[in-house]
Amino acid sequence: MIELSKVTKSFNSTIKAVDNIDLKVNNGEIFGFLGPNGAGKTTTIKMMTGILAPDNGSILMDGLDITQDPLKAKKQFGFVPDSPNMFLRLKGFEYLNFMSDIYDVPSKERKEKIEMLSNRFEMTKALGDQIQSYSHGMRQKIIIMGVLIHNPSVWIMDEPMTGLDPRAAFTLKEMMREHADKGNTVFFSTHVLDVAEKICDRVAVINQGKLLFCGKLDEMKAHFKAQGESLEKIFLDMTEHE
Amino acid sequence: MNKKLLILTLALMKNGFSFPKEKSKKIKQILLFIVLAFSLLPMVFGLVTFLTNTYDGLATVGEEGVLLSLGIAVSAFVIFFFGLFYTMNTFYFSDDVENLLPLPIKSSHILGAKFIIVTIFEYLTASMIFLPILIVYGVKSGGGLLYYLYALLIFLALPVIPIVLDSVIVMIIMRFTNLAKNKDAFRVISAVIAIIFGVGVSTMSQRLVLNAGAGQTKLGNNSMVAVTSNIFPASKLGALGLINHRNLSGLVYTGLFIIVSLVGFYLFLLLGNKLYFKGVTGVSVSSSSKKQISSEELSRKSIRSSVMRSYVMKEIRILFRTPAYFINCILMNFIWPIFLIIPIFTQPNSMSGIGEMVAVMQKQGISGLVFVAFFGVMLFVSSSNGIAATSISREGENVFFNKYIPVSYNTQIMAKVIAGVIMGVVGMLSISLVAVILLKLPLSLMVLMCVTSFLAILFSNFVGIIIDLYNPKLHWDNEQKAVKQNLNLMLSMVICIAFGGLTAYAVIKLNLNLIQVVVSLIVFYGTLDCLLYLFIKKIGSKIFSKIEY
Repeated sequence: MIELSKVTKSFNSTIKAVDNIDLKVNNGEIFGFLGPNGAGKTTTIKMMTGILAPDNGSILMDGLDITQDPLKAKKQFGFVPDSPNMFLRLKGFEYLNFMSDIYDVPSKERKEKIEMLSNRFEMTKALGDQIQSYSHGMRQKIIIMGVLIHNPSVWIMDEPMTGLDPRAAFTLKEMMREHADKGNTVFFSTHVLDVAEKICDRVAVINQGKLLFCGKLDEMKAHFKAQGESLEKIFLDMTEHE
Repeated sequence: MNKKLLILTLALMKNGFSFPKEKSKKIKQILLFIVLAFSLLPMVFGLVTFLTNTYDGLATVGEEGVLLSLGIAVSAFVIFFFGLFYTMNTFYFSDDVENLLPLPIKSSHILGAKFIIVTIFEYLTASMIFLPILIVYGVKSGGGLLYYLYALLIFLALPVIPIVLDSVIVMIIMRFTNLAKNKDAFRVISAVIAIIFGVGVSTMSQRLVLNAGAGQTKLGNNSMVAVTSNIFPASKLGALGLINHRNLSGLVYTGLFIIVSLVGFYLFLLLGNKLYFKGVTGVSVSSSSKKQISSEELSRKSIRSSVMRSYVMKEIRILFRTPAYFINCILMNFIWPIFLIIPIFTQPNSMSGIGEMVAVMQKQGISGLVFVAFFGVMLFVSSSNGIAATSISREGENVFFNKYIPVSYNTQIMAKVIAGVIMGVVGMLSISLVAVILLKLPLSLMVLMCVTSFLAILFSNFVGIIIDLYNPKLHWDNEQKAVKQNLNLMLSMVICIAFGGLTAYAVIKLNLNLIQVVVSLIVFYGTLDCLLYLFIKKIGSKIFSKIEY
């Protein structure tokens, strides 16, 4: 479970990148965080993961405060950043081993996990190569594998579908569903509505740092009383008028 | 200058010397510059005094021109040596070429712009050595406006020939190693070859000079100029131009010096057109084996280890595998022993000199001074590798990773320090090995030296990481900028050199014997290291948590 209350962050003490946001993501749900480019999605995620400190408000991961008890809170989630260009000089399995050590995954378990994940993401033949030889999509996959290897209860993903081929995107969506169905939390940001429409239990829409809506997709449609129109149109309208 | 070449040079320059946009960071950067400049002042004073005395000494035998010819030759050498790194980094390890290739720019413009950038860097190097010489000579010899005009022209043209030589060496090696499959590894090997080659060339020509100098007995009327200039043939022209600045021949020599430099640059462009692009294209493409790892292999490789160990291994792997880091951080540890060995093998006389030194040392007992010299060298070497002083900077835009993983900032900081200490110790052991074999120092003494110098290595790494924590250079677009154009490395080196110098000064002044030296070094640096450790432990986390990209 993720709980944000009254979270605010401003840069240069003038522009509020995130403005007094309240958000609760329950166990067992896939939650989509929507908004146009520069809306404040990544800033919110950076605060949730401890990369940025909020100016105000609190953020709880499974009940643990990310600023008060950072190390314990950080063990609760796995984070997929929006750019997968990390650790390019490490080999695939070296990266997975490094992540396993950081998250205390026992030897036997990590081996099984590496085998399972590399099969599912079709990465078995790439693990011995340096990550810099990977394509964008393969880099995205290895980062996702590094996150899933320690089996965190909360998944936080910043634009996770970008660069994935259709098959890998399908596998990831499948895994997100499985994870949520086991009573865990999946939180991801996207600016592609189709993705949100297909897999999210609930969504929130953010623009210019303010939360415009939070609820089920159907409710969103009803909320804006535009049943006849496409979700895309609602989304565009909503973020345009702000 | 061609307009497009100018635009390209300016664009590449801006990219290279980017100042931070935020005002507070800008001020920090400027302050850092000022601190660095001030810390270099004592060195400048020392150098000027030394040069003035040398001039007076040489003037009594009518050989004051040697100051200029030696100055030009030595500067050309230093430029040549550093140029090897600069050309390699700028020509091959910066990724901007990949972005420039699709643009409608002539290849000679790209080459020319890169050459000019290296030249500008080298002006900084030259201004440290050559500028004081020019000024001291000018003042002492009462040179007029014409002298300073010639001096300026020669100063500007000086780096060209050494950099042309660097570029040719680097381009030839890179042209052929680019055929290799594992590009990173081969690039690193080429760098090593180029450096050994460079050191070899310089010592060979030193030998040439020494041999020639031995035969020259008639002094007076600046006849030694011809001899010293053998080091770099063209430097003779520059020296003669300046010495004869009052005559027409001065103009001719200066003109020739500039023409030779321009011809060199033109030849570089011709050769570059043939060699450069074949060596640089595909710089970012890396091969993959696409081999499946067997289950047994995976079991062997996926053994759990502690967070600290795993983190240190990650740091070291990246240092070894990234060519820019390898050359600037790893190779630096081994370059000094090479410097020690090569002259000894190429100059037969030096071996007997060392023999005498060893005899004296064994007769009088090893003085505290030798001990503190080793300590100082280790302080310098371990700070020059910059592993700790650039460790946060090297994270670059990915510094966010350090913040979301469940590893405390202190653990991460210490892992970075340990990586630097490990490489420092490896460097120390290689120097010790050379010292034990060549200087025939007793092994027990060497062990004692190493134990004490370990404190120096710790000190330089603590200093380095503290500096980098306060002002990490995270905004870079290729790896060499994180380590090469990083003032943090300079600052930590200056601090370590200052400490080394002060320590040696104290030992000489207090006339300490060996045991006193050992004890005081251990007590002083031991305490200092403890204090620095406590400081990092207390506030390291806090500073790290405030670092934002």
